[in-house]
Amino acid sequence: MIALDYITKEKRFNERRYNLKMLHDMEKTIIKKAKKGDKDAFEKLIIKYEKRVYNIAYQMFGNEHDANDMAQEVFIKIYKSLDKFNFKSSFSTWIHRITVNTCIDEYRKKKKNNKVESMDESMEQQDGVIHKQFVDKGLTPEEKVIKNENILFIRESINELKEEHKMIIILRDIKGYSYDDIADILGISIGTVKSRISRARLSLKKIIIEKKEQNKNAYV
Amino acid sequence: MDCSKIQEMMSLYIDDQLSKEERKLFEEHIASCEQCKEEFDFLQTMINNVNDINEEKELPTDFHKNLMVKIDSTNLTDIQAENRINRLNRFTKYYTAVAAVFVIVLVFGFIGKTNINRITDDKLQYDVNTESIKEDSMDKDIRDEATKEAAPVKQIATSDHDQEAAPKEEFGSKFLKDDPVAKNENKSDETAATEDDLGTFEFQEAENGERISESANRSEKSEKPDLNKENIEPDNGIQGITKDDNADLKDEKSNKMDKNIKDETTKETTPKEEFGSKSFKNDPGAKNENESDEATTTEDDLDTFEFQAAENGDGISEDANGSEENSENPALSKENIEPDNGIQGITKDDKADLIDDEPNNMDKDNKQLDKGEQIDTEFSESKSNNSPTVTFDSQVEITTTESEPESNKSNNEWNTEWIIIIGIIIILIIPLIYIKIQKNKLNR
Repeated sequence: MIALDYITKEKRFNERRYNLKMLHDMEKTIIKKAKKGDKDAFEKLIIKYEKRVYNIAYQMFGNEHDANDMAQEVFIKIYKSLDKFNFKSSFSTWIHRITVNTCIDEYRKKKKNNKVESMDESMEQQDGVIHKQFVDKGLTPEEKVIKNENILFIRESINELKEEHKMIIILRDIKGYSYDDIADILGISIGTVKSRISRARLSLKKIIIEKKEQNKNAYV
Repeated sequence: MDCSKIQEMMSLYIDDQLSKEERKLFEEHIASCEQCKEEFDFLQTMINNVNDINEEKELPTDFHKNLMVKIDSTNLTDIQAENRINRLNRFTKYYTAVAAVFVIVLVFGFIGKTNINRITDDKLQYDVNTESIKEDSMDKDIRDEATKEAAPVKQIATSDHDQEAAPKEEFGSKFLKDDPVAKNENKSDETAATEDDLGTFEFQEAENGERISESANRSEKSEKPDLNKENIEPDNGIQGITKDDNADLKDEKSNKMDKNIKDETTKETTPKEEFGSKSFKNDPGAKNENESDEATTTEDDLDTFEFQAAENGDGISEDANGSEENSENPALSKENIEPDNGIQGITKDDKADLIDDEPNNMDKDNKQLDKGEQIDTEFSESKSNNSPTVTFDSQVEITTTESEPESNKSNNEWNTEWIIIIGIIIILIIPLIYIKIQKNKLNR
């Protein structure tokens, strides 16, 4: 029985590897086409990454408008620098790296100009003032309120982190990337990833504690 | 385990990044340490809350459309051209920097090289001059040997050779000293050969002003001038001491000046001076008894040999004459002679034949005068001789003939090297022009 299990496991593993290889080969051919200027190939290539890139940008900037602009910019950058892609890393990692780098750069710029929006701020639009709200389904209205408050609080705290720590918290704790993936995306060693995640969390903890104390004082 | 370490491990524990052992240690510590447990719980809930933030935002409906429109509007060929231009720009930056450094090094290196060449050329010329002078003196010595003429007298004529002359005069004194020993000329030569320790000693024998410049001339050249100089100075000083009890410093200085002022080429002559001094030493034994006695007592040291240093050439000759008369064993070699004289002096002291010595001194003085006159006449004769001036002219000729072609050569080299440098610069500029043309093409 054990032997049979082992054989089936190996079979499955091999199949998976084969599929991955196939996928990888397919991706490779598409990338080669896109490199030659085939726009359809490029469209095929990026369509599955659009949502991921957009969500990372959203977590970084905290609003749909900036996330939209950021994601568009990232894909145009990818299109422009596609001929620089040398197949050394996976295409996914490459896209993530460009996303992270452009997001951090843009975030830094906006931070300097104090243009970073918080999640709960009011936005002035053509048809009046809108107060941003986060919708969460499947909870009672009370729970929703508590959770929303909690989420808002944590988002504010995360926004106070410096950009590297913010990005690593997004990648690890919000998006749930593995340590290896993060190391690949950021182009750093796993040891550095570990220490950076640890430091980012501790500084986030510090910020949260400080904020809580401030709130206590405000309410009292 | 340390709490700070546990704090570092908390994050890794939550992500399951710890090894089994670390996990065990961590769990044990958390179970025991309340503070750490509190912190760990806080971190855990915080991370859970952060995880809750993750809500998958749906893409805006027009996202893909807008993106594709933007991508359609961007022309890849343009982008590639842009990339190329960027690459070219980067290349030109590095290229110009490297080329500039290269050219600067080349030009400054060349300038430095030419300067060094000039300096070395000057030095070479200088060396050639000095060598030619040496050669001339060599020639003269050889001639002197052949002719058995008064070589020193001739050499005195040129300013350069004046110094040589002085020592030779001293030699003359020696010879005079030795002259009485004329019988044992051969012997004295042999003893001179044994004096190789001092290196300088080879005798020139002469009779009544005639000097046979023998191997002494050769030894002059072989010896290092510095050493000779050093020897000269103390000799004079000592001489002053020995000769004049009252020690006229001025006289000493004047002697020193006379000898030291001379050119580098004159250093060759110093050994002769030493010889002279030796002869002196011998002489003073007769001349100035008291002084010579003092000196002779310490004669065992070589220093003392030098002590009784030569006076001016005239004085030496006189002393030599005096010594001729006084020296009991003039036939002995120098080394032998000196100690003998010393002993002689001592013996004289013992005997205290002041009376005998005094007349000797008197005789010396008389002879000094005679010899001085002789030498003066010789000097004048030698000055009238053309031979030294001829040699000088020949030197000048050599230098001029050598220097002119060198300058021409260097000029030619200079020009060719500059042409090479300019060529290299042009070659370095060509790629930059090519890059500019390429850039213009890409811009179109």
